[in-house]
Amino acid sequence: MGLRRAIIVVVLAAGLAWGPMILAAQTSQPSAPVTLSVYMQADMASPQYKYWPVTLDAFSKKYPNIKLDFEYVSDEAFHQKFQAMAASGDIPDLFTCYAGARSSYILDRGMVKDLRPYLTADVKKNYNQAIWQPQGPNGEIYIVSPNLAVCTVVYVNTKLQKQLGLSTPKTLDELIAQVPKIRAAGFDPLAFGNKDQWQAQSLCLSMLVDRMGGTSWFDKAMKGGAKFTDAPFVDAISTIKKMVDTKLFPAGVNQLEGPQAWGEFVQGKAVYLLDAGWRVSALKAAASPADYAGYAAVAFPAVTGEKIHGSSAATLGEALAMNSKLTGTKADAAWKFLSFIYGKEGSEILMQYGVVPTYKLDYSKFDIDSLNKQYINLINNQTMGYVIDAKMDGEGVNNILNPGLQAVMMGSKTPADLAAEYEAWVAANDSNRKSKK
Amino acid sequence: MGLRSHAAFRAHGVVEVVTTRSKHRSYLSFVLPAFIIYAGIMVIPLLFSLGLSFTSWKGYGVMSFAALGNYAKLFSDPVFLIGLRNNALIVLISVFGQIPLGLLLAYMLHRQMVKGANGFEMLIFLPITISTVIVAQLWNRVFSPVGILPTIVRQVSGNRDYVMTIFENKAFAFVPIMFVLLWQHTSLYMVIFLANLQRIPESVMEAARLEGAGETAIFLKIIAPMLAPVAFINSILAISGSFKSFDLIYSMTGGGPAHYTEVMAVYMYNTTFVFQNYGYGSAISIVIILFIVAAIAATKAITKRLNLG
Amino acid sequence: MDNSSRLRKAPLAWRACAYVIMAAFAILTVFPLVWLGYSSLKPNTEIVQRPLGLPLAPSFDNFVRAWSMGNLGTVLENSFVYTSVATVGTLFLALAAAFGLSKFNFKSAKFYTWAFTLGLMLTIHAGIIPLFLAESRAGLINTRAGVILPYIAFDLPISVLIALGYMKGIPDAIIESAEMDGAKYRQIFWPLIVPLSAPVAATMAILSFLQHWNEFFFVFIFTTKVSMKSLPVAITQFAGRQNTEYGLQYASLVIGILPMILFYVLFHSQLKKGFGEGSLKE
Repeated sequence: MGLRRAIIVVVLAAGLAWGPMILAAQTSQPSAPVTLSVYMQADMASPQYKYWPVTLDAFSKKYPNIKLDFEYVSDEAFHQKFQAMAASGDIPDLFTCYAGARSSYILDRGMVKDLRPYLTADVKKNYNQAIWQPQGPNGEIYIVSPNLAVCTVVYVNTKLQKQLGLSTPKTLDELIAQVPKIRAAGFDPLAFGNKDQWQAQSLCLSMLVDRMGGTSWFDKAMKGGAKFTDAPFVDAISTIKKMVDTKLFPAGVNQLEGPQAWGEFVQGKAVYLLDAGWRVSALKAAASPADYAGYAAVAFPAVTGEKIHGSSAATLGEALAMNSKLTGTKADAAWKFLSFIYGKEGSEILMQYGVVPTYKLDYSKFDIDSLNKQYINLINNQTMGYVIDAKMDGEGVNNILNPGLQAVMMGSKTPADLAAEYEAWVAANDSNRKSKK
Repeated sequence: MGLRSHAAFRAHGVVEVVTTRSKHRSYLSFVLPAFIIYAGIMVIPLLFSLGLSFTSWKGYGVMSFAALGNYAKLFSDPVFLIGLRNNALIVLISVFGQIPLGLLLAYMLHRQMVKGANGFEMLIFLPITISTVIVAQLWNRVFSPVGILPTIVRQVSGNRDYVMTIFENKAFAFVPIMFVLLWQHTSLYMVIFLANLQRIPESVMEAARLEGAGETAIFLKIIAPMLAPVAFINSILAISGSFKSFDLIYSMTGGGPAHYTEVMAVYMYNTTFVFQNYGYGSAISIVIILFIVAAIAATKAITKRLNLG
Repeated sequence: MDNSSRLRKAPLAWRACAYVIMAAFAILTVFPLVWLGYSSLKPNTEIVQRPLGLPLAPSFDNFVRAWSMGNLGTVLENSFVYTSVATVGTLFLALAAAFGLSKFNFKSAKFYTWAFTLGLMLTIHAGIIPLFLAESRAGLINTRAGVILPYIAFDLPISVLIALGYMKGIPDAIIESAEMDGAKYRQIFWPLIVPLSAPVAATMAILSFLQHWNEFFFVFIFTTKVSMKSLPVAITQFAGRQNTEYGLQYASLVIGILPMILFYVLFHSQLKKGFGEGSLKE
């Protein structure tokens, strides 16, 4: 009896395991409705994705024959579990992919389709040409990035600013000079949250490194012609330390989560907010229209010793990519989906929700709110540096640089020591140093 | 062999002859299902882990042999060492905090030192039934800069900028976590001690009282030694759990800020699933087991030495 | 009978200490939970402006929204399935194994018992990487079996040992007389042994249930779809993430805690007995 039971259990288990796989195989028949599985990094509860159901709705109206099956996972959990799928060799038809180091675990496995066959000149001309930079070692293009992820923007609560009798500072030192007055009035100067460790590096350090050294220096540092112990890097870290020491950031900045930080800004508790460009839509959804109308977006103020002025750091925003194994009707359906959501229709919807797409639209046709106008203006007039975690290997960034930045901010490590540690790891391990180009 | 079936036959005439062969098959049919599932899912992967720990592998592509390289790297890895230190702290708080406190509470309840002992018991026991990750979220809402504790302190002290800076202190960042561990687990040991206390015959305490011993003396010189074996067993449980600790720390701080609250299991998780360093991660998990085995062996040896079990 | 030692009160110093310590624990336990509870009844703006105050106009709005946004109905169902199937599975497998190991007197029993004891020392993390790889290759990620099988496997060592301790106490005579009457072993096991084991089975089941319901790591690693997640995992990911609505977060936490409190109120004496006696079996 026990043995029979054991067999039943094993058969059931096998059935549960194989059943879905068999079902999945059946959907690739060339009959009427095509179903695509999509694994997307998104948190549907976040105001940032308010536009998404609208886009999906519009798509299903245009292509009722294409059905989509979604799995949404947010933040790091997305990457960690995606590896499970990659390890089994069985990944969905479409999935979120980053053009750069963050998705190396899937790109290096050759599981992502090169979209160049679909990207005719006709298609490409409609977009901001910056997104067509080669994304792979042989010039592959894996994603049609819908927006440039600009990583450093300073948002200003102009109402609060006026109330305190302040004007937007042009230099970091001027901003620091405003701190005592702001704090005395009971507000936080610059809202920022670094509990998840990546914010200080992505949203702040990357921009500062660009100001201090520019992409030319960074290019050299990646290949080994320059080191991370050089002045640009160390000075950038020291600047962050200065910002902490002068109480620019809220107390407990390394315990604050991102949403808590911009939440503070929306609640009117901080005069300025240091966050990314993609925060605009969340601000729009979370703030009252009156408050929102009073927000401004400016570049990070000038820093002492900077060589590049007024720049930010940007990387291609992530997008859905295609499984390299797709063929025939499924591949066609997938391209229809991608070209819709990242093409004219999808971009128009993005625009309505406050996201500036890379698809060139006639802005005069849209009622763009003032914050977005300023943002568009800003990014059109800024030069962009690299975002460090898009260029450098994950382990060095996540295990050494990000926690190390926190340590520097909390005073337990010096900028020079962190630079030395990071350089040591990069020299020994980073794939950029190892590739022969 | 044939003897038994013969006896059965002779004793009962026509009877089902239970040969040893079929008895053996029956035996296996009872034991094997459990054993196979256990061995297949727990033991065999462990052996694979051991194998993986001698390699260097990204989860795909080339798997290269690294011999003891991973292990050597571990003991000079500052992050691992902080994790080890924190795990040791958990051992300390468990063995020298939760267990004695649990004993004390059990004794107080057993001796009915408070009215409504049952109510208190229920209340203290509640935390262990809540999922650890939810406990972590709960206490995050209490400790975070926008949480309830700093809010109270700000209102009371007038210091607008108050946050729990202990989290940013390299030496003491782990203390709040130890507090939550204490909060959650003390009751577990309290309940175990209580069950054992109830087995101690009244006469023992009576006799001591008649000899003029005071409460404290009874507690320290009679009760505690009698329960020492149980305490040692609990220590084994506690130590084993301390080295494995993952859920609470991962959910409360993720090992941060700046690795201050790192523990070995969280580092293992990040190394494997975030940094994609499967070989190194496996080495960490093997080392965790080695520590558990060593700690248990040490505890058993001490127990024997002190003749307590 | 002289009850005086029982009735004699402990000295004042002890009692005072006892009250202080008990009260401290009670407050520490109750206050966070109570605060979470009434805060979840407040809309987000009120939480921000009056974090400590009682709700001005208590409403369940947060709960309703958290329930649908976090898919908590599905998740609750998953928790229930994972937990009950694993608990029942473990129970019968453990009873069967214990029966085999205690009543059959084969030499190999020693080996199997030792093997199970070894399992007490092994941790989840020991084999998680290969297990994860194996499940990925076998397509077990995001399946119920992919979670339930490890649950059972990790629960077996302690369950088998507890059941074994109990079974040893069942007199051999009962089994021998059944054998004499010509019963096959399976006929001895089901109608006879299982009912006899009811007390320990109940304890084991309750402990198992609690452990599996609260489990986090396996579901976290072996599932990615929200539709597969258990309650603790879903709540953690929902409550922590990108939304700034504290009200929603608190409500989801309350939803996460309530089933356990309910379970606790219903079963606390068995739980107590289970934990307490679990140690006696050592």
